[in-house]
Amino acid sequence: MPADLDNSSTASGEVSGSSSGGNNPSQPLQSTAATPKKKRNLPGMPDPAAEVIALSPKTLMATNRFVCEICNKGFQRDQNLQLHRRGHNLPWKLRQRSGKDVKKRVYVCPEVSCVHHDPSRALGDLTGIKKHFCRKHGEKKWKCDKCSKKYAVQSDWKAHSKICGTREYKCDCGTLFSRRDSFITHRAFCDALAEESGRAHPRHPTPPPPSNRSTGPDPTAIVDSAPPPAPPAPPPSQSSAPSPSVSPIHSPELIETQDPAPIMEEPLAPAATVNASCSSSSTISSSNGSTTSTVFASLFASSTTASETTPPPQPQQETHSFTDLIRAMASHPDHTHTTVELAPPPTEPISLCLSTSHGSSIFGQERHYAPQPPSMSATALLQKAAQMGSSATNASLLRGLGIVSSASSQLDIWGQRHMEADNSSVHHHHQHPVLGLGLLPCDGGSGLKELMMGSTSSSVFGPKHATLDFLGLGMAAVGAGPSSSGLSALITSIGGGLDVAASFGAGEFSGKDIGSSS
Amino acid sequence: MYQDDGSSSATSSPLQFFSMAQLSPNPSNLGSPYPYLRELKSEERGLYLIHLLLTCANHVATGSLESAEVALGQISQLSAPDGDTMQRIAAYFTEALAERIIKAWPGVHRALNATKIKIPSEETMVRSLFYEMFPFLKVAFVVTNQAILEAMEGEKMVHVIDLNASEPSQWIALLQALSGRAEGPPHLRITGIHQQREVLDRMSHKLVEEAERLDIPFQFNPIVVSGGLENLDPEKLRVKTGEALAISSVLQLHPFLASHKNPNSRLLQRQGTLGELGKMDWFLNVLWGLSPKVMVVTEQDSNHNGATLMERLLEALYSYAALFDCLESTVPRSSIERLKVEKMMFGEEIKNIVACEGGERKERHEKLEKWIHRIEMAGFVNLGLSYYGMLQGKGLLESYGCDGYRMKEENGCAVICWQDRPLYSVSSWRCRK
Repeated sequence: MPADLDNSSTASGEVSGSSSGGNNPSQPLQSTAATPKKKRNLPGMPDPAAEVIALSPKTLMATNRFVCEICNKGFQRDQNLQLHRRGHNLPWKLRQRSGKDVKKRVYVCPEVSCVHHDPSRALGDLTGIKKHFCRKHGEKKWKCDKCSKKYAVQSDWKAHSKICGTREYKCDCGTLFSRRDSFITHRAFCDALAEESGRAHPRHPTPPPPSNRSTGPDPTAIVDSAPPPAPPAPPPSQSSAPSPSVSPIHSPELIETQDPAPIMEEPLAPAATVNASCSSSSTISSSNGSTTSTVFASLFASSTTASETTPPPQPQQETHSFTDLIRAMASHPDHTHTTVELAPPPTEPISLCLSTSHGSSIFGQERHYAPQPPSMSATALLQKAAQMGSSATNASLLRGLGIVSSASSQLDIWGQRHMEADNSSVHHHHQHPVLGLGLLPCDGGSGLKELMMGSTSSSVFGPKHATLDFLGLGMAAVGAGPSSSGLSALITSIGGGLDVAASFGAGEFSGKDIGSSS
Repeated sequence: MYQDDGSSSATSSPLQFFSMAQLSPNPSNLGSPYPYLRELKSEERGLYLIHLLLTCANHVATGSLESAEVALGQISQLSAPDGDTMQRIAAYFTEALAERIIKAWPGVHRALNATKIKIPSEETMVRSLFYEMFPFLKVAFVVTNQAILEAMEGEKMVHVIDLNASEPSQWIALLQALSGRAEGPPHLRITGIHQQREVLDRMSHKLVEEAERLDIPFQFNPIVVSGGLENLDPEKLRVKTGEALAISSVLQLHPFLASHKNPNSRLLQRQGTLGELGKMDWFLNVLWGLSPKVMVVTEQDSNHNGATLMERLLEALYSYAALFDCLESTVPRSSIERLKVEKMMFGEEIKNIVACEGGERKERHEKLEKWIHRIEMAGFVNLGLSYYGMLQGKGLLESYGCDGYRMKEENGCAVICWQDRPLYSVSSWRCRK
């Protein structure tokens, strides 16, 4: 008879076999609701002969688990229960506990989807399983007073409150650490923003990027993990052509270059998918030999210095440098000089190159939905637009009005002409005479108030001019300079009804009804 | 960033700025802008659509009709109700904006809508499509049932009032849960309210059948109201003494926020003192007067009731983007049902939010905290949803198979989100004595 239960697995077969004979499945731990299931042990466990106990959540959380059979009084500890039972004057036989009470017990988590629900992953300690259940599947009832962290287990909460506020280390991405080792580890792999961008998109069963990193065997995933500080701003992955196979090779280089710039993370969360950043980083690395590469390096350096001087990440600034990179990537080599100069100033007007000529877009690779052709989710697009918008607060007039005015062939011509005049008009108003200078009668939101920036320059043109301006009708150019006088004439001739005065007139009856709400 | 809850107002302003951002094409493409538009990739097109949409909305808000006209024309070249998500959203939003513009000419508007036939069965069908294709109502039902079950522990006589009885499956589930009660099932009475007699008859049939199968004493009382819940006569509810009352309100409270007092409602005329009370206060008072043991309220959790058009449009853009994304992730683009839900349910809601004002605008969705405040003011106490109820709801969401759906707890209420955008909330209340 195996008196001692060896923890080694060699004797597991015999041990479990013989102990099964002697085991009588009673229910000593039954206190309230459900019946704890007794299962046969699976081989391979640390303690194969241990008794597996599965308790219901109610039982698990019950404070008085030990119940006296005689009077149903509950106790927190077994010893207390024994003491109590002595008082019942039981006959000798009953007073004894049913034999081998040194039998080891292991517990499974009642939550079905949990890893510890499987008896082979059972936890050996009752308190342990209680805490695990609370932590993972429980509601967080304890809240730290200093910060907003919530805990399901009281001891966790106490431990945290001791530490809370004593943090000393702060990563550039904003995360705080109280321990030096965890801080260093995190900083080496700081990719918080990259993670969030991965989470932004509703992916089908694919797990979010962090877990991708740990499990992905394909080169894309490898590159994900390799240059975590690397993807500063995904330049146009026009070289989605450079296959991911290129990336792993070059990623080590990138890590080195990126090390001093941990801030340079993807500012545009939705656009910058991790895939995009991979291919973009491969782009950067593959173009190392070309003349533009030095530009990029200097851009990184310049934007690094620019961003380091600023407090922890402001998306606007990073977006600027990001779009600078885009322009650098998308434009021809002869433009690189200008882009280098333009890199630092944050008030640089953003121009998104919606060019398709390069065969790629800054918007990175496309998402994959199971049934549909890959396309970006609307939520992600809105987020991206919001971020682009937030960085474009000081953007000057619409350029490239060729797009906007494509509606009619007449406007085509005008569009081309306007492009020429554009450069001049750009200089005239840096502050965008945004709409709604008091035109939005019911303005309550702060967002709308911000629209009213640039009011000074717009006073020259009048607000309605500004609105028309969006459509690239260039009305704001009126009065801006001699070059645009021809434009206004052209505009009035085109639209017929596009007379500025007419729009004012139209505003009479419609502005009140349309713009206002009851 | 988007991870903040309820920070949509913070992000809405940058989104507006987006409409002012430059979108410059590659200079080499200038010669032929129209084919260039065709070549736009889905993402670029999406961003461009957002740009145009916001521009157009700005024009509509400020009354620049011609500019709005141009913008609408441009959007219509890119949008499509059967395209990708952003194209669809743009289509419905521009339709709503156009509707708003037309409303400035009431004669024209009326003429355009003169021959519109409202087929109630179509609306019911769309509603049931919404129930099928999204987990929101199912989760709401599960959580509601659990809250009712817990509140009715030990009760022998239970009366449930369903303010919009359209899905029998909810109550079938409740019947089954009640039959499994330790102390045996109670005597159950369900009062269902709906606009259509046929729906109530069908529900009655199914529920009675199920109750007989489970051997539960059961009674179904149908109440037909036409023209909305505001025409409900509380007397008809016949709440008896001695029975424990549960009220289930699924997306039924927000129309009462329409401020314009409905002169057609006989009840409002009868209750002469209603000069000061809005309809919402009146209705909540009616509910409070019934002394329910538990009242479970499911509502949208979005702020679509802003005072200005732009506020509402921006919020709606985010919310419906999330909803359209749900569909995009779970249903193929060619699905007719998806088109129907998008057009007849969401499209109509968007139209209502964007184009209507005053008493016409029924889709006055508000954030959960506002609802909590409002219901508390009406004399209710937040019961909070139990751990088990939340667990069941979450389990249902997870089993749905699409990992974009999330559920979280806020102030004791359940909030169902898509990604990080809260969409619907469920809260449970009892009367404060």
